[in-house]
Amino acid sequence: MKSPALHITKHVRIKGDKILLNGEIVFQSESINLSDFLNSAYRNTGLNYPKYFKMDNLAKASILAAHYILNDIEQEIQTKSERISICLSNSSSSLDTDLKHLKSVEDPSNFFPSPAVFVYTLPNIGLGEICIKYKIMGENCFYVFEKFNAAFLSQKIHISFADENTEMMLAGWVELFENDIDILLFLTEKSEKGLPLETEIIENLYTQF
Amino acid sequence: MNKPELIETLKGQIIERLNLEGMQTSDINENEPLFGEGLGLDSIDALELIVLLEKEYQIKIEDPKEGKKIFHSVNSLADFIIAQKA
Repeated sequence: MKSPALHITKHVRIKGDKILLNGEIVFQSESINLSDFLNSAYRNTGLNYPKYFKMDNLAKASILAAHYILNDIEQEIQTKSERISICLSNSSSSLDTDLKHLKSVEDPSNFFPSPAVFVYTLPNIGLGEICIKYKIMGENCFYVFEKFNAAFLSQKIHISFADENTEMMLAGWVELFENDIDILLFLTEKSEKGLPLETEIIENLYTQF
Repeated sequence: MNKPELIETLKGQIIERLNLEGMQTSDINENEPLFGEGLGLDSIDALELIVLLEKEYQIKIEDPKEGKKIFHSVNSLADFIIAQKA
């Protein structure tokens, strides 16, 4: 029997002061500071995950976006943890935290680097935080591109699903630097429902807001 | 600074340094273990506490084996600081 085609079953977009789930606004804040925005959004979800406050902004944003997509299928995810893949990408890598770390080590007379900051000086740590929280143990990868690359994501997801072990894939763009946030995260499944997994559709999800 | 004042200061510094969101100094029992049970801190938190000691109290832990005893609780940490400053 032929498997259903690949479809995007859920998508979340975080940009500026808004969070949209499947195109509908689920959170909006007037915070002008990104850290305040991320903390307000976290409290709004009702999540109880104290580790969130120890993360850098990129990891917080990644966890937050993943929450909107995975929260109501958390039990299902845990039954197929090795069959769920993740592929994230961005353009600033972990520069936001790299600069904070640099600031803490550039003055030799006040040299007190923070281990809690240093551990986030890699872009894929946020991806790891998602895997830890949701116990995802499938293939995972992080790519740095100059700009959002829908064609690559589409191709990468198709390749991952060529491995029949893959049942779900979380993919997208998690760009964050200083006070700017630009996130599109989406879940792809073999399903009759949702949006067809095509480059143009992914591009539209990114540009719709 | 006497010991009760030091304990209160340490609790505030731990909350701030370890980003223990929503926690007040009164929520920390100075005799409860900092790691495992109690506050449930992890290995990165342990490194942060070492940096806190160096930065705020100019104290370096020379023997890593002593760490477990020193960082058992806020009370043991305060005793260690007082002993080092004596």
